[in-house]
Amino acid sequence: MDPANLLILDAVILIIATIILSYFFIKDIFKKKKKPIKILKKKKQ
Amino acid sequence: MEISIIDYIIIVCYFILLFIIGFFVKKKVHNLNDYFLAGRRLTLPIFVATLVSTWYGGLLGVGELSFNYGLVNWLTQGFFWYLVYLFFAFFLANRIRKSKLYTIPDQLERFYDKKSRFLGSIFNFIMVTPAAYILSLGLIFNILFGWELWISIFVVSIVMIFYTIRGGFIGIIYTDFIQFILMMAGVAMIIPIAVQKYGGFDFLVTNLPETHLTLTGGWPTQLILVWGLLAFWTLADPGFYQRCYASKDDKIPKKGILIAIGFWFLFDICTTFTGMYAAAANNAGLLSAEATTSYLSIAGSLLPPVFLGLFLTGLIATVMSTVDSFTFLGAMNISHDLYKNIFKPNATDKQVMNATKIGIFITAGFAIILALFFKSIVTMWYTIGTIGISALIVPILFGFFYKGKKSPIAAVSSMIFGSGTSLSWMIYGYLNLDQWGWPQYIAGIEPLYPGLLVSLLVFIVVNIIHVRRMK
Repeated sequence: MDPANLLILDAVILIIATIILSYFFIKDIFKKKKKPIKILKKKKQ
Repeated sequence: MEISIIDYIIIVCYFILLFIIGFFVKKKVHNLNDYFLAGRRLTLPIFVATLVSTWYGGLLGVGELSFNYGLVNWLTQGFFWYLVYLFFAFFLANRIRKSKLYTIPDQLERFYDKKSRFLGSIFNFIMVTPAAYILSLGLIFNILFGWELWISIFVVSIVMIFYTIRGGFIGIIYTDFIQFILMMAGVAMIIPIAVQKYGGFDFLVTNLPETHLTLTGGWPTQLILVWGLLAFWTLADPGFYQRCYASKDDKIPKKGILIAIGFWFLFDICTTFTGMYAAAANNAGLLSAEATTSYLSIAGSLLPPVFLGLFLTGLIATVMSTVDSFTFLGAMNISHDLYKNIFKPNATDKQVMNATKIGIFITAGFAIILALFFKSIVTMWYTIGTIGISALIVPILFGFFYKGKKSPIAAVSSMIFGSGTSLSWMIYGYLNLDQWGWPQYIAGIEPLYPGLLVSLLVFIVVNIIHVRRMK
């Protein structure tokens, strides 16, 4: 096998890894902040 | 190199996008913590994208080395650095994050005293000078648009200053993301096309000198080891520290650096072989290329319109992401380390933020002057790295790992004598050039060795004497 094929594989893996990281980056950036959950205390009767 | 109008449009769109980000990102900045460290909210993917894109700025320098010497570029600019990154990830990243500070001089004050912070700030400022990267961008624009070098440098600096001033570290993170995608895609697309057009490994073997295909490139061992020692730059790199401080939790820096090493590994292979393909095509008479601008030449000859535009934008983005971060770090040096912590301790957050904005202009101005003075990117890295490392590494490592009592005088003396030795060594070499114009150092020893050795010895001796006296 020509070692140059490994170079092409390297480039392909780089592109795939970039796409995956970009997906998670965008997900984190646009993640909506959770509103604090209000804990309702039962009033003691 | 022929560039079509569509390629120019892609490059212009990239700059417009940076302006738009700069315009809107200001709304995200609510306080000084946001401006300096994005509110210490970096998640893992954000940490990786900003670290990978910022750290990799010297693309033209890497092109120069791989074109001239081949695989040794991967050894000196890749492999040695991975080892130091691993050390950083396992032994430093978590400690830095936990300290919850802002800069390296903050650490020096924590370990020693204010004088150490002051001196450390100056060396830190030298290390983050983005001169080599501004010169790279100037050269790229000079070739793409035919502008004079100084005009290219000024135009690039204005765009970078605009979004960095408005958004601070948050602005840098958003632009880093765009730059991260562009740099990865740009570099990855050229290798398959080069293999298809020129041929596989046989093409390289036939058209390159034998040394290009050996890991040492025919270099003397001493020179290879000096580049290996330059990788220690990482341990005193303000960009690494800033991203560790800005992480959302303690685990992110270590994991993030390990993932980043994976990206750098894949990326370095692409850049090294692109430079080698350019050299081989040049030797075969299929391409007319020069070492420093070899990437531009090979892209111009191989890529069709649109792809060429994307590649060129990726090339610009790779350098731009480093220029903005380094300029901002230099500005933080001026505002946080010197103005707030040395000269005006009661400065309000607003005053510090304004000082940072002035600092951005000062850092960029200093870098522009250096970029116009030095003409080689690799020489600039070497000079700045040698002086900065021989000053900062020893006090920082002792600070983190030495459990005994530490003397502030030892730290200051180590910084002064270490950097002074390597600088004098370097000046001596440049005053005694050989017939080819290369500096001849005393006994043929590169300046970083005596610099680091003196820094280490001075620290140990002064620390022993001073700690005894303190008792």
